[in-house]
Amino acid sequence: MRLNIYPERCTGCSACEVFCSLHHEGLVNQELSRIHVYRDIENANFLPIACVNCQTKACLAACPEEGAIYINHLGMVVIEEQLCTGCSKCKQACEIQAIGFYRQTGRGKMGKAFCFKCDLCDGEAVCVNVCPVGALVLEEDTNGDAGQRLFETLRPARLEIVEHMEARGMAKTRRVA
Amino acid sequence: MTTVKVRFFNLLAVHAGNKSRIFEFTEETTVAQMLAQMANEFPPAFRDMVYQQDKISPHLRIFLNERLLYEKEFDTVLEDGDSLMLFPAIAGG
Amino acid sequence: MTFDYDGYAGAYLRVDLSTGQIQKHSLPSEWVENYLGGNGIGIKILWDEVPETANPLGPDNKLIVATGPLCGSPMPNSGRMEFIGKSPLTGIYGDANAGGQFGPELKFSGYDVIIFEGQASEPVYLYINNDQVELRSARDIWGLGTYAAETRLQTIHCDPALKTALIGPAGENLVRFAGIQVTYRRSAARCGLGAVMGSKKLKGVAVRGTKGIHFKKPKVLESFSLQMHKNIRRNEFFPGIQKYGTSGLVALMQPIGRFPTQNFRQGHFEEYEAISGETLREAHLVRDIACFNCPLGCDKMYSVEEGEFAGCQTSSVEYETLNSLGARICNRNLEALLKANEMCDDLGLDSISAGNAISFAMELAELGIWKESELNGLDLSWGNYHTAIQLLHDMSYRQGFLGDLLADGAARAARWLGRNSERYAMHVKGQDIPAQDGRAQQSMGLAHVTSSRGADHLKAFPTIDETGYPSEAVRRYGEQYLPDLVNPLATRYKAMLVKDGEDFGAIVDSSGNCKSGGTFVMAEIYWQEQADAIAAATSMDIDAQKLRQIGERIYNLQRCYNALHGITSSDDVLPWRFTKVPSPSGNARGSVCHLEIMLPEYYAIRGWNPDDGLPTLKTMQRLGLEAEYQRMEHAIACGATKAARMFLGWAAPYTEKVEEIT
Repeated sequence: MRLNIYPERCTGCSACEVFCSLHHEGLVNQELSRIHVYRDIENANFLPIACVNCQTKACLAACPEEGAIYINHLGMVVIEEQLCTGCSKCKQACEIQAIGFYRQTGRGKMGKAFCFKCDLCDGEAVCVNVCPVGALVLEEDTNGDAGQRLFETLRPARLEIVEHMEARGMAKTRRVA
Repeated sequence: MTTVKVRFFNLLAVHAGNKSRIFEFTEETTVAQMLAQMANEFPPAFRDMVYQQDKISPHLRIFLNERLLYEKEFDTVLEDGDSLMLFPAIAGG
Repeated sequence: MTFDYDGYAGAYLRVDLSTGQIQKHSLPSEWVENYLGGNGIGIKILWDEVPETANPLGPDNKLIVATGPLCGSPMPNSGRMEFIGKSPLTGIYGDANAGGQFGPELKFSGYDVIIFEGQASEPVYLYINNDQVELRSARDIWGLGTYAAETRLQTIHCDPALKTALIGPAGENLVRFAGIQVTYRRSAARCGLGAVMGSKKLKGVAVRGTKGIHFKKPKVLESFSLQMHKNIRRNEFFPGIQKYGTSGLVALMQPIGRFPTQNFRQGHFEEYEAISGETLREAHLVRDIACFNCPLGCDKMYSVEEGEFAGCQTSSVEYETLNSLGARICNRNLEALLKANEMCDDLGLDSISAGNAISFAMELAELGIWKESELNGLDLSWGNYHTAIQLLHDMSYRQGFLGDLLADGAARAARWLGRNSERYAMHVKGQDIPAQDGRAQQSMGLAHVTSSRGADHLKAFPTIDETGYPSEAVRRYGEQYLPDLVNPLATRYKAMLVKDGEDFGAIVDSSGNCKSGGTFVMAEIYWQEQADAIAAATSMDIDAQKLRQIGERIYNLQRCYNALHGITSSDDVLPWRFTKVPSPSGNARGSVCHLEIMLPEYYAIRGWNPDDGLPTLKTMQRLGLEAEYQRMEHAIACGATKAARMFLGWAAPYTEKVEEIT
């Protein structure tokens, strides 16, 4: 199972981010959402980014901690946040920045730093349920390469937005990097 | 011959595929009968906006010669030169 | 002191612009228990801190920026926030509401409310980054339009996710209907609160918050809110609103006869198809965009590709603007209208009042009331959009005789000008009447006069009898009021509809969700749902009954605040066109607005004195506002309200019949 994204349908409403953070962390905080909507409103461009289950899975290889990142029964890569040390190597390895990083104080979860990513809410993806325009859809990955193909289109689309932001003089920030 | 002009708005125009239509009737026809004829002619999406559980939807707004028609007036017989405007559910300000 | 309730950020900022001092305080529990948030907390602070003697553009006025317990919550369309202050346009209670992204961001940064007081000596803006709160020099952005200023601030702070609330040149130049523009391009337009910011030399607020908002019962709130999202998406009204937004109403208003044309002379516009929502979407849509957590996305981005106005890119082209800068001034050029909308947002103007001022000027020109020397070569013929665009600019910079005069709004301009011009200023309590002709919908006529911020459709927002939706009426009020309740031309039960709408609207505006979401038109979220959501978010001891009382308290206190400024039942009037001239249009043909029937009934339902239209002691005691009643009575007795009334500044609406030009 994988998340399919139709960026052209997105209205930038953030409902996915709101429900994702509430569902996973128990509070509304877009910084803690496992899906992030890039907004380039000047060019009327919205781009929701979350893990689309690519084939490369560079995040897996990048993690130095035993058992902190693995593939679950849905075929999704998930981060075991209790074992994550927040080194953010997985985040750096992901070419669409589908992994988030959050630092409170110290290291690890709750008063610490950790990486987080989409786990499809164990098959009941709340972002898909709340998306009003069908920009997010759950699909079976029958051929196995659909996620990779989506990944290939999201990567340049994301770079385009980031470059546009940088051209406007807005330097890198946490989630738009 | 009775000729009436019907204008569609909002999503009704989208579903009818047209903003307006001229209808011609040789026999006496009521507003409700005309709606039934349209629902047969146009795609199902149009029908779904006009009817709700086989009754004319309470959300359909019909203006006959710029007068709002109420449910009890749907059996009004159309006259030659009548002009109708049809709206799906919209309101606000 | 700490704050007990989840769902709120729990703190407020008090920013003294005269001294530069910034204080952080816990949100007082009694504010939220008695007034909930946003709109309610706003009137509470205004009542306590801004006396009737305060000049709206002086240092004694305050600008309150306020969110509510559902702002930033998972409930649908939870991006709304309020600005409250004494209005420079009306001289009485003023508020303006906006969607977009700013309100939630303010809460994420840790603050529910900001109170601005005093006056800065140099232009400043308030920068908030969580715990970091600073007043910074706005010298580099003073004078910029809101678009450029927003981008500049995002660049200065290296953060494309920075959210701003800004004024444009109109606010800086104290245009009395200047609005405040929030990210992204949403307007808190009414009541001229942008000029209050201008008078304080406050260019804006830039906020970034990463703290998030905690809720008492996150799982309950999540599933309840998700259900509300789904209910809205399944609602019959959803597809039409999602596709066309409020612009879809342009066509509907023609056969109802509710579309003010030529300064309210007609209720329909012959060439409406040129400016209808259908045409707008077909010819100019770039993309559907949405405010924070809103499934509807009635906001849309449009562009003009060719012709005189090529390069124009604008969003939220609302029904109101399509009227005020379209039919009201007989302009059928949609590209010019889009340009005018873009200008209003960038200059920071309320497009309703701006259009009303222009239509006022055009009618005076037709009647030969202007002197040649006053026009400065402008051709004020109906429909001249070049003139309209020039006037938007001139008003914003107060340039030329006409620009400077009209920048005070039609009602003030009429008072200054004389020459019988007050007959053509279409306003209630100094507030320009929006595109809702009360002759075609009786409840709307009543709503204009009972609104606490002057003529307004959004205080009561009666939509059930616009064209009459019986199923929504039954869901809200039961069978017993049909068919009159849903007949736009009937007066029966309309007082009840307006009163209930005002109370519920006060709650929606105090909570932080949207009146165009599920709360009014769709009838999905009402007292019970709103109470359930607030209870899950905050764990406040709240139910529908208590919420009703808070709504009533807020609305009554707003009325009393206006009473401190000399407002009484004698101000609850509509201009002559609505009560003396039968509508020439559509379904409303032959109809006038029957305030004389509805208003006494309204006062009775409200528990207001039938003579002066003010809340009685009994009503105020019931709402726990006895001390407030005493203050109002004292102010009336000692003549303070009469004195305050002298400073309101507008010519009362003309109510005697005038022969229409044919």
